[in-house]
Amino acid sequence: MLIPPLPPDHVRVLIECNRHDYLVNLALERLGEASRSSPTFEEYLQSSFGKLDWMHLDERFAIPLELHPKDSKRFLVRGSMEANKIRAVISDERGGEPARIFSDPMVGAYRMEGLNRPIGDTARVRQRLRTEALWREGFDGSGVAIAIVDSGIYLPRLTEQLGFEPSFDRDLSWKPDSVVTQPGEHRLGHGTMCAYDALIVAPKATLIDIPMLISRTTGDHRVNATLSAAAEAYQHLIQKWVVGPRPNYKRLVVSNSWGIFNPSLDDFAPGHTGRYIDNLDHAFRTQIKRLCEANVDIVFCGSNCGPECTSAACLSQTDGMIMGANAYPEVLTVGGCDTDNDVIGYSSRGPARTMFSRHEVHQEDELKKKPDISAYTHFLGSKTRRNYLPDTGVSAACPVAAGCIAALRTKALPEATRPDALFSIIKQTARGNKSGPGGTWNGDFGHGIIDPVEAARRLGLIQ
Amino acid sequence: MSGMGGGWFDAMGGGWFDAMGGGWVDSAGGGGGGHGFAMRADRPMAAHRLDKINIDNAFPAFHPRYWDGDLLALSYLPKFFSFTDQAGKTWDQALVVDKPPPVVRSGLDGDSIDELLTMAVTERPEAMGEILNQHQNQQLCFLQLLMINHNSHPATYFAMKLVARVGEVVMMHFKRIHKRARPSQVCPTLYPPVAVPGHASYPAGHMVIATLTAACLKEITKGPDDAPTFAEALDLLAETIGLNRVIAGLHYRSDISAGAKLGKDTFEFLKQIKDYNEAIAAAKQEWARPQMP
Repeated sequence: MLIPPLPPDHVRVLIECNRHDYLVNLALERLGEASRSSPTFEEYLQSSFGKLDWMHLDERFAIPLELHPKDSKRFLVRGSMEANKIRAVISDERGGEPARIFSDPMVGAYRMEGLNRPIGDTARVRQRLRTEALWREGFDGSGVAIAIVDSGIYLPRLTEQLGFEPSFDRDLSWKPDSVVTQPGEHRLGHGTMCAYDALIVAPKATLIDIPMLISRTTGDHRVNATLSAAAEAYQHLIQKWVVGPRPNYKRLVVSNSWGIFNPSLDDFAPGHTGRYIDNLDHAFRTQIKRLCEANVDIVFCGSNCGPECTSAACLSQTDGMIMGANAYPEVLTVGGCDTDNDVIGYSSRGPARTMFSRHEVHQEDELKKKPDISAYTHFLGSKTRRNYLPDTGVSAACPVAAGCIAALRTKALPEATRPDALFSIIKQTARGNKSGPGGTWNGDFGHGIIDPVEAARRLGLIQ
Repeated sequence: MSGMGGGWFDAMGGGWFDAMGGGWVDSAGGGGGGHGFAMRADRPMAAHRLDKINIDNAFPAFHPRYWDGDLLALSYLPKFFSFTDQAGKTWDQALVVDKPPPVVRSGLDGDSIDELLTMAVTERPEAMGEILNQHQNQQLCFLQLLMINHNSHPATYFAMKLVARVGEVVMMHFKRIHKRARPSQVCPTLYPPVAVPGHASYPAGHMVIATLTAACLKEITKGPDDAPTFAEALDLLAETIGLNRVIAGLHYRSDISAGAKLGKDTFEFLKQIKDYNEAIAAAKQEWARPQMP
């Protein structure tokens, strides 16, 4: 059964459901550990939901909320339901505890179109980031994996543009069921740009292709991807990196140049416990935290809603537009600057959207200090669109920063094993400019422009 | 294409060419007519005497294959108009389209303009090819999907013409009742990439006819064991055609869902009418599965 087209009074949701053999088998099948024989989807629906004509579930989507499906008492499933039922208490197993429901909004690549004058090029970015000094000391990304969570990588173009064949891990890569192209062979576009930009500083890092932005759920063709696609992609990384045998890499860096375009795309009302854009209790954050706890460095871009040159997808809104996962405290949020060290007009300014949680206490002012740092964008780099068009958007800045982190992770960092410790040093050592001194937060650049050499120096790894 | 009836057009406007409905054409001239033929004056074919022609045994009637499907479909409409179902209801009593929800800037309390604006920015560039392709003569997509044309499957082709004509009638009937403004009138910056049709927004005509066509073709192409051979693909095509009208800024989401429901309901109504049923039954014969030599 396919998910039916989304009726106008329905919203996409992620539902936390009780354990059921169907869900366990489905999740195990994803791990290659079981074949789905019984019970059937219809039997699962009948036994757990009864006859609910206002709700539809995706029969292929089950994410265990504990690490392994066999241990998990709760699962996340994807579906849609009538909007006016969101606030209703749902019992997903008769007599069981009420299920939690989360928003599953449309997300997409933070690309910028229509801007064609590059400021500098790849060489200029390397010059600014002093990659020669990094590489001389062996900080080139060797043995470090970078997962590009985006629209997919096209390796031949990447090889052509870089001048060498990048290291690529097909086994750790993933693709949505609905996508027929194979890892490293996806349509040329945004994902290839991000992969290129990640290798500017860390050319010897190994790429992992996670094309979740082209997942386009079967049956629901209204949008390219929703947050549930990201949840599925992150589940893959959790299974590969945390649950299964640890892959033979020093570290994993995850680069995310995507997000929700504007607040109106979050179907859940302000204050709802399932809302995405300003809610630290959303189920997706659980997955982010799982990877962080396994010392995976997660980097997100800010957004392209800066006041001077707002992306059309922002619908003219510029305040508090760093939101959702892009504003989580666990991730390093990256704004954009050009190679003249000026803030780029479309890079969203801080502070971020005010986040709330019913379970955690945070200092609101600290939470809102996003972007954390800035990195270079709007330079002539991957040439994935045209030979004369720059890599644009905070989309490009994010993998540049992820590459800096991958380079730093090339060598053991005893004082900064945990991602938050490294992020803290990166913020402290960020370079200042006319907007403010480095290491001190301002809304334009965050704590400043990322400076991997200075970070390595602070860590005592280079003199 | 017939320029004689309701589908006539001129270069200036008025009732000009919008081939969404019954007046659709394909490149092979399946709408009837086709090429014009000239006769040279110095050696006219008419001067050639056909002495052996036997007028008495000449073709006794206008063969079905020569009928212009568009015009022939019109002759079925009176049956549709006058038919009453088991509840004693005519089509305009049996078919119901609820009042549309309100238009809102954003949120779930109605059709969201913000959602349309976002789709215009994020989805339209990729969808443009399909939008232009489906704007007129969407039926060609169905022909392409099934790999048929009016020569290979004339009865199927005619059934598509039949339902398109009915679809035009029902969609205009309900559009006239609800008179909903187009999204681009409410928010001109949606700027649809094709001409905004000269009729109201709700329900979506493209979706009515796409759903009706898909439903009809599903019925016709059922396998010998009634297996719905093309059902999924036909539904997907109809859904895509509807969605692209939203991405184009021509329709609200509720226009599409109301159109889909109306299309399905209309087909169920049509199946009760003998003449339409016979046309569909004739088309089914074309989908018998002979053994290939």
